[in-house]
Amino acid sequence: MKKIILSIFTSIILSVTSFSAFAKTEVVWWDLLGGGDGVRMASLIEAFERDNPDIDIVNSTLEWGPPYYAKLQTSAAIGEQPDIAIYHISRYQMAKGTNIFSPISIDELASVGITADQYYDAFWNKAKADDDGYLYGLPFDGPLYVMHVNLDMLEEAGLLDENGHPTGLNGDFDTFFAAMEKLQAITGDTPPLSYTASSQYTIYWWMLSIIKQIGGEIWTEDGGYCPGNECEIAMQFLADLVDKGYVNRNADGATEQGNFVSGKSAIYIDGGWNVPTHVDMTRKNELPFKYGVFKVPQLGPKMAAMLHGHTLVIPHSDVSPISDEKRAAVLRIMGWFSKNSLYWATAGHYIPHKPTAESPFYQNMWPNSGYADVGEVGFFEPNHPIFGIAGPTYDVMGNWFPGGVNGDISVEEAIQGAREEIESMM
Amino acid sequence: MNSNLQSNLTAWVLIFPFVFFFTVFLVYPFAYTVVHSFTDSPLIGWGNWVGLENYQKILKDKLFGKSIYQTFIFVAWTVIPNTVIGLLIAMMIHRIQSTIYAAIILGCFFIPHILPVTVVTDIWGSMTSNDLGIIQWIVKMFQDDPIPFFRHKVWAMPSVALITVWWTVGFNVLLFLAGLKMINPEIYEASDIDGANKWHKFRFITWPLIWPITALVLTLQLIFQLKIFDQMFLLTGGGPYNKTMVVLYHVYKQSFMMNKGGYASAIALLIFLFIIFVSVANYYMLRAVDLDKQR
Repeated sequence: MKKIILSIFTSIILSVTSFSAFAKTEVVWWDLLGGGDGVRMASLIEAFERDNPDIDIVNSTLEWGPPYYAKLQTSAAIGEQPDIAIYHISRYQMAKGTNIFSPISIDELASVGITADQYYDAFWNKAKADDDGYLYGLPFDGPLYVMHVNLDMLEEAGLLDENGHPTGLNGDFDTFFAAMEKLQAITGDTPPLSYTASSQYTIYWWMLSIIKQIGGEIWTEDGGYCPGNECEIAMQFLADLVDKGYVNRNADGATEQGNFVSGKSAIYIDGGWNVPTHVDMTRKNELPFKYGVFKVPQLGPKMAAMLHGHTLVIPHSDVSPISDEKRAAVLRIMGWFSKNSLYWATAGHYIPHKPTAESPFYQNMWPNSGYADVGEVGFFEPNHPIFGIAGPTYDVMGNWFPGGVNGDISVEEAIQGAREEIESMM
Repeated sequence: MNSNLQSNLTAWVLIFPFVFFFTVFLVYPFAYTVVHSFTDSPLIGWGNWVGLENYQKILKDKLFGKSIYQTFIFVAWTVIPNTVIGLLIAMMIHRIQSTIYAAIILGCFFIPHILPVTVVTDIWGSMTSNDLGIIQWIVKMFQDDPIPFFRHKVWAMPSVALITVWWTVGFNVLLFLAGLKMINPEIYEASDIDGANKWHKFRFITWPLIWPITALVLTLQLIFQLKIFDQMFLLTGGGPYNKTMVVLYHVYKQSFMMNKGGYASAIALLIFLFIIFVSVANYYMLRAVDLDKQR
């Protein structure tokens, strides 16, 4: 009898220990990536799990924007936060007061092969939690606003150089208007330029680049929101595009992209995240023209392009902080993702990891090579708690900007309205 | 005594589920909101005790004043129109002799009410879409440019009000119809003998007898519309130029966007007390009118 009990006990011990030897560390991952981004991220996660069989990523995609960030915060409040999450870099200053981040030290990052010199300064500096060697999160990509072009139409209008790159669009507003005039002669009844003039997001993202290009700032410590008159100048340019008939008044997103992909308009200014759609259509011979994509036009003395950024963060909870084992697994995930972000570039996003971004493959990757050098001229929103994607400034701009651009109110009223409201929040 | 104890016990057992959920999901969050309103807490978690500071801040908050004003504008656009239209439709259905036709028509008016708000706003968003919306097709008969209804300084509020009336009027129709069916047909027959015309019948029979229902509908509408949020969140985002910035949207903005949980709680608490006061006052005023009429 004793022997039987002993053998049962031994077999239980053996099975438990052998199970432990093959037990995976489960890491809960949250993101807000939909569409092509979501599909690509799922592929990357699968690839990571193949390379790291001892880590199991349980991923969930939540609704984009304020609902995602609110859920992240509420989950942390009760200790049910994910172990790793995608977070917009532009929201760091807004969120740091909520204690949602578990900052990552440069030593921890170094332990998985990540160092500051591997990243463009704009990204690394924006991710810094302090000057003592801590980051809120690891920059993963740099989605940005780009210029999608119908190369056939540009060629017909004489707006392509010998290398097949757009010419005659950069310089100043008048140069750009002249180019639009030439393109309108080709597009006829359809405005030559497609962009979503009805959305504060699209207006702001292009406008912010223009403000910077003409030497202005959206916010300064001394001058507040929209100091000087560059905001008015930039918005007046966008309003003139509508008034001159180069852009549809109150244009909505689906129609504008539809006009571009059907070959009715010549230029489509929108996110680089549309690149995969256009590339897929090209591969299926569904685009009736030769497609190219480049940085937004330079309309002032210096080039500047506004960047966004998805980062990988470790959410913090006072109730249930992440265990050392899971933290180590999360760091390994960060290390792997930093080195394997090339595939992510096919989603149209810029890659802040220098070894990847400067690799010959990425530099020559079609069509992304048209903006592969944006790391040098990219910039983020100011470091102030009210800035950040889907934050309070976006709500205020939604109130005022579309009206100013589409002629419902004057440009001065639109900027002043936004200025007063945003400054009242500061 | 034993029987008393038993019946008390039975009563407590029966009401326990309600008391439990009422306490957990209403009393506790309410108490939490009251305490929060005296702190500078963020959206999640506790902050420092700041006394009446949040309430003092409300007095200086221009956007709060504007949001109260816009809420009343919305109430004006919806409460009485929704009640009047509901009554008219109910009277029309009440006159239909065929039960099947009456049921079909009632169904047509009631179906929007069972739709989720997201579906309602999607339907109207598509119908008013600049390029593909059927309403813009009508607009283009009169002018070249489409009207961005939910981003237009004049059209935004009336557009949301119209959608709200379309969405919710079915419920009022149902209440009025129930009221109309309660009126004894013999009263109308007697008035026929006295030579009353249609207007007399409405003015001196229908209207006084359904007044209690009207008072109920007006009060319910007032409560619903003072709490307007969903349609603004989904259709206008409070814009343009804060012309649809209603008070609950302001609370949402302060809490979820500005992370000011304490301040948002203070506004929410004031609104809660205000809605209770207005609703009770409104109901008793309307009932008083009713009692006068009965005399």
